[in-house]
Amino acid sequence: MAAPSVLQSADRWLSEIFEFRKNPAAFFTTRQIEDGEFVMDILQAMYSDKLGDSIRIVLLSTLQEKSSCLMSTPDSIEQTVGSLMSMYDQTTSETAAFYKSQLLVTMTTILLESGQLEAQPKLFTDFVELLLDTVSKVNSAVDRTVRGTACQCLNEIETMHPGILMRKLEHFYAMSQLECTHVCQNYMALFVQVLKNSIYVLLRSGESIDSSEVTDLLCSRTEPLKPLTLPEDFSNKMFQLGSPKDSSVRCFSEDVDSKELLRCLSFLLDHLYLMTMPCAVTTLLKLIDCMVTAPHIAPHILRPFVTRVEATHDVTLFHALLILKHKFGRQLMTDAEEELLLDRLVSCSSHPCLTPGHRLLCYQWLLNFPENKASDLEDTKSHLPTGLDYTKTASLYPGVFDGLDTTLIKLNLLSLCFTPSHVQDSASATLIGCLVSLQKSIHYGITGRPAITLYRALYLYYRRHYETVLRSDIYKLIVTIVTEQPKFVPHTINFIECINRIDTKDSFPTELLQSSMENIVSTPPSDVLEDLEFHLLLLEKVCKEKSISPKPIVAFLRQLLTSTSIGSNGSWLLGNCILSVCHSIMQHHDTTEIFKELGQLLYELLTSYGDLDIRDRARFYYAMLTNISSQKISSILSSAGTTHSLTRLVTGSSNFDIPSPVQKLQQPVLCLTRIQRRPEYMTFACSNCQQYLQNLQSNQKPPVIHMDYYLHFTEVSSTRSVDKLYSLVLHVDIPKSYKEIPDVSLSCLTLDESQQPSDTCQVISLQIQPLEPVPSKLPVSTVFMTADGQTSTCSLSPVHIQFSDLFLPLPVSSSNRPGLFDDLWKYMQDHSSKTCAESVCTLLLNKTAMLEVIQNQLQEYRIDHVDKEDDTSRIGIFLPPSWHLLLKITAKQDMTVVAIATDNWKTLPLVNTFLHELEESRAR
Amino acid sequence: MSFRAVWVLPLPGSGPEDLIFIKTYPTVEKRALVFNGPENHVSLPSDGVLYDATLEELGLKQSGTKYVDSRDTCDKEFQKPVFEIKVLGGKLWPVVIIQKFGLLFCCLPLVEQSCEPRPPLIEILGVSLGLSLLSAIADFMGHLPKDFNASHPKVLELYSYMCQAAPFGTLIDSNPTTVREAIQNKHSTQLVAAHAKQPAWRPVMTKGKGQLHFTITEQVRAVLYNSSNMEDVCSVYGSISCKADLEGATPEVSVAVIVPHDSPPLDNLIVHPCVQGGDTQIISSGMPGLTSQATPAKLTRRRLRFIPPREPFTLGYYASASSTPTTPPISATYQMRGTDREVTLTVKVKLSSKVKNALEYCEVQLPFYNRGIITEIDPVPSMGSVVLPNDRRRLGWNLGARFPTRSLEATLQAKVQFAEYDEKRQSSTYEDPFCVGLNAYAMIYFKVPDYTHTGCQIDPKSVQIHPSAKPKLNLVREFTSAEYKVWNSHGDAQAVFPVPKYLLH
Repeated sequence: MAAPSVLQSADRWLSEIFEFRKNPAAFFTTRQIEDGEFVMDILQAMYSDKLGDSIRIVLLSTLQEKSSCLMSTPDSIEQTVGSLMSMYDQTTSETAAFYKSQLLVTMTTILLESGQLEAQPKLFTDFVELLLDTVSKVNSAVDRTVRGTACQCLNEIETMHPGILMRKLEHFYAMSQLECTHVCQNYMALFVQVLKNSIYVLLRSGESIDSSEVTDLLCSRTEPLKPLTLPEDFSNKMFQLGSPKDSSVRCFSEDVDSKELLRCLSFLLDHLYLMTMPCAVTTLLKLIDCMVTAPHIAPHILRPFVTRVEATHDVTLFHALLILKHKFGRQLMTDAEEELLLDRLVSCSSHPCLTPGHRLLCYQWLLNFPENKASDLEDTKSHLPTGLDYTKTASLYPGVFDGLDTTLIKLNLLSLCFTPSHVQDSASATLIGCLVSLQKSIHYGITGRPAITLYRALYLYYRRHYETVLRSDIYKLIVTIVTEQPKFVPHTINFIECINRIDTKDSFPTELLQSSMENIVSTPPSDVLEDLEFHLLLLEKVCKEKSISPKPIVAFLRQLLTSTSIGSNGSWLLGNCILSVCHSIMQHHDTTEIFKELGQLLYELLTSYGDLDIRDRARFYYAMLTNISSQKISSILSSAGTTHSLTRLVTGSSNFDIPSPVQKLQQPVLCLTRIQRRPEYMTFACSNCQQYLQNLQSNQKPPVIHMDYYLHFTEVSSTRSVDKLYSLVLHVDIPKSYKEIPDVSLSCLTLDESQQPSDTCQVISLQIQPLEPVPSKLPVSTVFMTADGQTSTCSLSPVHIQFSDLFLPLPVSSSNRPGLFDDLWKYMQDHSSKTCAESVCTLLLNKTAMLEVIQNQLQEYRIDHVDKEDDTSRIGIFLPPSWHLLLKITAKQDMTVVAIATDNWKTLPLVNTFLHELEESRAR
Repeated sequence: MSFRAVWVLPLPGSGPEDLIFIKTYPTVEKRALVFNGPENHVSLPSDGVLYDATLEELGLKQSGTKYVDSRDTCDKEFQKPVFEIKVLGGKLWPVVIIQKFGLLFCCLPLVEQSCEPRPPLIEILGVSLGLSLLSAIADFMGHLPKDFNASHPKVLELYSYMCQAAPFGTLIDSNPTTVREAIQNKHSTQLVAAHAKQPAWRPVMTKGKGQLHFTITEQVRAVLYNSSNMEDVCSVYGSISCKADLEGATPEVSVAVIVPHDSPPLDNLIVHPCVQGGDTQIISSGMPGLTSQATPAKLTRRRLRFIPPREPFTLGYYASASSTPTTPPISATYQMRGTDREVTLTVKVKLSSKVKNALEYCEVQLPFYNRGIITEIDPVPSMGSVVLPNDRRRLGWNLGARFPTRSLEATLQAKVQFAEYDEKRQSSTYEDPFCVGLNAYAMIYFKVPDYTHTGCQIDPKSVQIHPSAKPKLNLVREFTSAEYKVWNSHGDAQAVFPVPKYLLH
C-alpha cells in the first residue's frame, strides 16, 4: 500500500504549496500555523525520499522564491540554511547531482535575498567558503555538475555584492583555463563577472592606478582561494550594488599596461564557441564592458566573432551582434560591412523559416538600427537607417503571406521610406495602395483585427504625412468606410480622438466629421435604419464639435422619427442613442438657433416614442430646453459627469463593463387571467362573391382581435416585498404567424388593486393580428422596477390563443351573408384544385345536443336562410387575414354530420380538432 | 540579462483560469529595485492579478470582433512580441509574450539600466534571450492534454527545467535536450575528454559507430490568381536538419550544399550557431562585386563547417529571394459559378515538367465557407477520387501519386448543392469571413519525396570530418506544400499591392 500513500502525500504537498503561493498570509491564517512551522514541514518532507524529485524541486523553488515570507528572523534563516546544508552533505553527486545543485542555489538565494552578508557575515562567509572549496576541484569528473552550479552561485554573489571576490580573480582565471569539462563555461562566466567588477572597483576607487595594476590583478596571487576573509574595516555599505546612474565608468589611462587583459579577453573570445548561446552572449557583453575600459585594446579583436555569427539564425546571437555594432560603430564595421549587416537584418525580418516573434523583433531593430553615420535624430526615436535605400524597400511591401502584425509594422516602415508631396505622386500611391488588402476586408465588413490594423496604419500615415496629399487621401478613405460600413464608426471616432490628442488645433477631425455627417443626413432615413446606432454614435460625436452646426442633424432625427417606425417600435437602445445626440447638442451648442427644431424633436420623442424611460428623459430635456438658458443647460450637462455616454456603451466602443443591474426572478410574480375576447368587426361591400374576394385581397390591414386580460400578482409575490411595481413593461414573444405586438407599458402596478383578478385589477389588452389562422402559445415576460430601485425580470405563464379565438363572422352585412355563404361554397367546390378543400366529419351528438352546442358556441357565425327550411345549420366563419371556414351541420337521430368547406386546406386538421372538442365539451 | 519572472497561462477557454506556472527570482527583483530606483520600480503583483493583467493587455478578455478601446485604440504602442502590463503602481515592461499550443508563455527580463525613459528594444538583450527561452519552454512542454492543470507532470517538470536552465534567473542553457539530460543526472556519469575542452552544449559524448544524417525539407507557398491584375506569388524555402553521432569532444564536420549550375543560388542562408565558418553570404545589392561581375556561380556550392551538437538540430535555413521569381511546381485554375445553393466548378491542375512525377500524395481541397452544408455533389474527375468529409463543408479531390505522363494535367468538374445557410448552427465552425458569394479558393496539398524544387542537395562527396572518421552517411530530401492557394477566377480575392518591377533587381 506504499505507492498510493506516496502519491497522496505528493498531491497533498502540491495543493498545499499552490495554496501557499497564491496568498501566503491567508494560508498561514487559515492553517493557523507559523511561517517557521511550515518551513520545518517543507524541510522534513524533503528529507524523506518518498516524494520524488519533481515535487522536491517544487518545494525547493518555493523556498527560493518565498524565503522572505517564510523566514523572518536571522535564527530561522540560519536554521533553514543549516538544514539545507546537512541535506547537501548527505546527497551524493553521482545520482542526485541536479538536486544537490539546487540545494546550493536555494541556500545562495536565501542568504542573498535576506542580506546575510551584513546581518550574519560569519554564516555568509562560511557558505562562500564551501562554494570556493567546491569549485577548486578543477576537472573532477564526478561532481562537475555541482561544481558548475557552485560557479553560478559565486557568480550571483559577486553580482549582488560587486567586488567581494575581487581578490580571488587570479584563481578563477587559472581555473577557467584548466577546466576541460562541459562546465568550463561556468568558470569562464564567473571569471568575467569578477573581472568586470574588479575593473570597476579599480576605476572607481579614485586612487591613482599603477601601470601594472591590471596585470597584477590577473596574474598575482594575493591570497589563497579560501577562506573568504572580509576586510578588517568591513562595513554594511561595502560590496553593495549601485544603480547604473552613478556608475559613470572611466577608462584606464594610456600608460596602464593592458597586455594581460588583452590576452585574457582573447582567451575568452576564442573559447566563446564552447558556451551555450545564452551564456556566450551574456559573457560577451560583460567582456566588452571590460574591453572599453582599456584604451589600447581595439574592437577588431571581435572581428572573428562577428564573422562567425553574422549569418546566425539564433535570435540572441544576432541581437548581440547588433549591440556590438551599437557600441563600436565604425571601429567594428566598415560602411560596406554595415550594409551587409543591414541586408542580413532585412533578410531575417522576412525569412519564412523564422518564428513570428523573431521576425517582428527584427523589424523593431530595423527602427533603431545602429548606423555608422551619426544620426541627428534622438536615439530613442524610431527612424529608418539611411542605408535602407530603395533596393531594399521591396521587402517592406506587405506580402500576401504576411500576418496583420507584420503588415502593420511594414506599413509603418514604408511610411518612413516614402514622403509624398502635395499632389498625387508615386509615394502617396504606394502608401495608399499598400492598404488594399486591409481595405478589402473592410469592404466585406470583416470586423476585428483587419479593421484595427487599417486604422492604425492610417493613424501612422497621418502622423507622419499630415501636411501632404495623404491628408486628403485618408480623408476620402475614411468617409467611404463610414458611409459603406457604418459598423466601423467606433474605429473612426477613436481615430479622430487620437488625432485630437496629438494636435488639438488640427482641423482634420472637424472636416472629417462634417462630411461624414453630411453623408448621413442626406441619406433617406429608411436607408440608415440597419446601422442606425452607429450613425447616431457618429452624430453624437459630430455634435461635440462646436464649429459644426447641429441644425441638419436635428432635422434628420425628426425626419427619422416621423417617417420610420422606430418611434412606435420604441427600442430603448435606439432611443438612448437619439437622446445622447440631443444631450450632446444641448451640452455643446447654443440652442437659441435651433430652439424650435430641437423642441419639436424632443416633443416628438416625449409624446410618441414607444418606451417610457425614453419619454421620461425626453420630457426632462424638453423641460430644460424650454425653461433654462442655453448656457446653463450646457453647464448642467457638463457637470453631470457623464464621461461615458450611454450610446458608446451600447455600441461597444467604451471600455468599462456595466454590472448587470437586472435581477432575474425564477418564479413569476405576475399572471395574466383572460377576461374576454373583443374582435374588431369589419365589413366589406359585397355585390357578388368575386368582388368580395377581390376586396378582401386588396385589404392591407388584417383584422384585429383584442384579447383582454387581468394583470395581477401571483401568490408567490405576496411573500415578497413587491407591493408596488414601477415602469413595468410586458413583452410578448410573437410567432411568425401573427403580427408583432408592441410592448405594454405601465407606469405603476400595485398589490392593493391587482392582487387578484377583480374589477379593481389592472386590465391589459393584447392585439392579435393573425397572418395565418393557427392557434399559438405566446411566451410573456416582464421587466419592472421595485420601490428600492432594483430592476427585475421574469417570465409569466404563456398566453394561449385557441383556434376558435381567431374566428370572425363573415365580414359582410348580415343580410348579405346567406348569399355569400352559398357563393363561397360553390367557389370552393369549383376551386378544389387550389387551396380549397371539402371534407366531412361525423360527431356523436344527437340533434338536441348539437343544436345546443350551436346555440352556445357558434351562434355568432350562424347564417339564417329565410328561404330554406331544412335541418341543416349553416355556419360561416371568417379566418383572418383572408380565409373562410364554412360548415353545414345536419343533425341526425344519434349523430351529426358536418360538411366542411374551406379555402385553406391547411386548417382542416385544426377544424377537425375543433369539432371533436365540441363533441367532448357536450359529452362532459 | 536575467529574468525577473517567467509565467505560463492557458488561453481563455483552453485550460484553468489561472497561471499554471510562475517562477520569480528574489535576487533579480532586488536588482530591479536598485536599477530603477524605488520611485520608478514596479513590483510584481500577485499571481491572480498577473493573470488578469496579462489577458487584459492582450485584449483576450473581450470578444475579438468588438471594438475595445484599451486594446484597439490607434495610438497603442506596438512593440510585439514585447508588451507592457498594467499593474498597480505602473507598468511592467518589457514583457515578452509568445503563444503556442494554446498557452501563453511570458517573461519579464531585467533591464540593466533605467527604464525612464524607455530605452529602445535593441539595447535590451534580455528581450531576445526571453524570446529564445519562451520558445524553448514551449518546445519542452509540448502539447498538454485537454484537462490539464497546474499539477500536470509536464508543468511540474517545468520547475526543474527552469532551475537548470536559469538558476538565479540568468539563462544558462535553454536547449530542452541538454537540460532534460541534466535533470536526469546524465551529465555526471560521462567520461571527461582528455585534452580538448568540451563544449557546454555537448555535455554528453557519443560512443559507437558514427552516423551522419542530413534532411533537406523544402516547402513551397503560393497564391495563384490567374488574373491580369493580380500577380501570382510563389516562394520556396527550406531547412537543412542534421543529426550527427560522432565521437570526440569537438568533431568538426565540413559539408557542401549545392544547387545545379543552371539554377539560381541558394539565398538568405542562415545557420546554426555551431557553424564555425562557411559560405553564408546573402545575395544582395550591397555585396561588393557580386552583382556587377555576376559571379553567383560560386554560390551554387556553399560549404559549411560546424561542430555538431548531439541532438538533432537545424543546420541552416534558406529562402528563395523575392527578386528571382519561382515557377510554381503545380499550376492551377479554379473556376466556380453559381448561387448560394448550387455551384458548378472546374479545377485544373498541371504539374510542372520540372517536378519529379512521383508524389507521395496530392490532394486539392475545396472549402465552402459561409454556406450551408453540402447536400449533393456530382463530381467528374479526370483522375483520382473525390471525397466528401463528414462535416460536409468541403470537397477533397485526391489525385493520387502520379500525373498523366504526357499532359501532366488533371481536371475536376463538379456540381455542388448546398443546404440553406444557418448561421446559428454553423457558428462553431471556422468561417473565412472573406469567402462570401463567389469569393473562394482551393488549397493544394502535396509532397514529393527525394526532390527539392531549388535543386538543393548535400554533396555526398564533400563531407569531411576532423578528426578523420568515416560515418555512415544518410541523405534525405523532400518537397512539400505549405500554403498553396488558388483563388476562384470568378470571385474577388485577397491580394496585396504589387512591388514595382524596378525594385526587383
